[in-house]
Amino acid sequence: MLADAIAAENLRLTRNRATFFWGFLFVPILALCAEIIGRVFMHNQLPPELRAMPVDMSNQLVSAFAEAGGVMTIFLSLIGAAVLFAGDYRWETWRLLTPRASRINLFLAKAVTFAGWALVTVILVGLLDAAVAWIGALMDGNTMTFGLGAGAFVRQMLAVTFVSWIQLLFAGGLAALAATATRSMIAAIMIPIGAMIGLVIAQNRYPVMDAAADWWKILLIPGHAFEHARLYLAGMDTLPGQTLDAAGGLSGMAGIVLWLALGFGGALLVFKRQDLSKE
Amino acid sequence: MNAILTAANLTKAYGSVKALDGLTLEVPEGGVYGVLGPNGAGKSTLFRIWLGLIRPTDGGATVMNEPPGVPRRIGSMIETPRFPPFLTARGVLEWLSLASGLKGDAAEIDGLLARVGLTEAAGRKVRGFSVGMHQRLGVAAALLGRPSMVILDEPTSGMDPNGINEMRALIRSLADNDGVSVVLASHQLAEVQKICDRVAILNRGTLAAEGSVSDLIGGAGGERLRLHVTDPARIAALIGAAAEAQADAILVTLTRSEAPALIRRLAGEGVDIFEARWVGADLEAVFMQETGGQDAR
Repeated sequence: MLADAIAAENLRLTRNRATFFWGFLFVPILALCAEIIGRVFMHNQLPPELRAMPVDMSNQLVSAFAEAGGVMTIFLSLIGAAVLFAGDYRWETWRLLTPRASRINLFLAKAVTFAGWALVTVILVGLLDAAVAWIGALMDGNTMTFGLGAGAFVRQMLAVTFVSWIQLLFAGGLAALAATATRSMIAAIMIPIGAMIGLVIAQNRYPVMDAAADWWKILLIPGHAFEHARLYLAGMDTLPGQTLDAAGGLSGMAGIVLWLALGFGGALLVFKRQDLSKE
Repeated sequence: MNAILTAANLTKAYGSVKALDGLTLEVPEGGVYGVLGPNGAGKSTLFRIWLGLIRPTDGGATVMNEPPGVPRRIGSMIETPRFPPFLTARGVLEWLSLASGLKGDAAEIDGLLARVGLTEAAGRKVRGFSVGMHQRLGVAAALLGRPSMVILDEPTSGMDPNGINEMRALIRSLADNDGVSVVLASHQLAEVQKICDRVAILNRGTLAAEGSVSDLIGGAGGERLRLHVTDPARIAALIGAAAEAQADAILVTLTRSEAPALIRRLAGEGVDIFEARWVGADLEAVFMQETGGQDAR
């Protein structure tokens, strides 16, 4: 049963306190500290007239959740992903599990567990970030506004949260593939980092000038895919300088599906037929 | 005979090395079945194929009339089990119980910990466990969910004498009182003789002998003198038909009163005798005969 396998993965992950903290809880704490330091710095550096400017809380929230899938979150979430996907090789525990439960369920349980905690991380990072902005505004006596309408706010929040979460899943998928193919926890961290550095270089080397003509860049380079999917899903044509681009958005969504399939699907294919003579 | 485990012309090759070479075997339901063999005989490979951990290169295998790899309630322990080091003994069983779809039944877990003598260590993290404690916990894990069959690879490895006796009693009790079919691999031949009903002896990936323990011992004949010598083939030829050459020794069929004269004769002819001992009509004698005197591990 998949639900039982998920419960088992969660039990093991939450009792592995060091991994759980560094992989999923440290980033929200780090984000909180960074935001507080930034606020204090701004408070001390900005002249009083600028400090007193109104704060658009809707914009603060959207920005906080859009940045929740940033580099630091991705890198630290790789720790959690590596332990989840490579742990049974390291502890030689596949031999205990695979005779009793299907390999597909065991793998899916890991993917679902990672996805669940990645979403919790994104929400915590976003909420703490926004909370600090709100407290800072209160302390500075700023006027707080809510610039977005309810519909646009909900849409943008869902879109940026979803894409931030997908960014972590993308990294988790690469970690799953690396862990399964190499059976190594270190490789499950280092290979995705190397791949992501390469993809960032590719993103800068091949910029998207015209989404319709450059659809293949959006499809193949995850950074472009995330950006175009985020803009499309959030309907950010309402913001100055942005235009709603269906071709880019759909290519972005297809790119996301492609990369998640490559990571998690590839890992599952390898694991399903893997020889476990020695984990 | 209703076979719970079968192997039909089973072959597993790792490159040019054949761990199993056309092995055909049927393990009957019920009782305790032992699989013996020297190092590299293919015992662990066979168990791993039955448990779906690896695929055979050729041939077929069944587990409870189905192909290996279909999830089912089989308890197993392959070699010295390892567990996530940050979990307690109870945590390990809770985790495995959940993963097996058993809902982590606390009463069952406490019962199993008591059965393998780990009640007092239940709350301790396994990173501090000895090899013997790992073995005990591995057996408890194998018994989760009241399986109808358990496969145990070296279940007493690393245990102290008391632990070995307790484990023997537990294994026998599983077969006799719980109706569990137990299949085990062990290099402790005396242990296998004490607790197994039937045994299979593997050698170089093939079946060397199979049958009930009493039949195999009965077929091995009486006592023989085992002499550890250099160049066993030459010495065996020197003695004649009563001697059989093995890898590093000869087995001689003779009476106890004839032994001193033989030893004097060989010494007089300059043969270096490093060890002389009587090999009784037991499983060890059968094993030596079938495997050419290789180490039982």
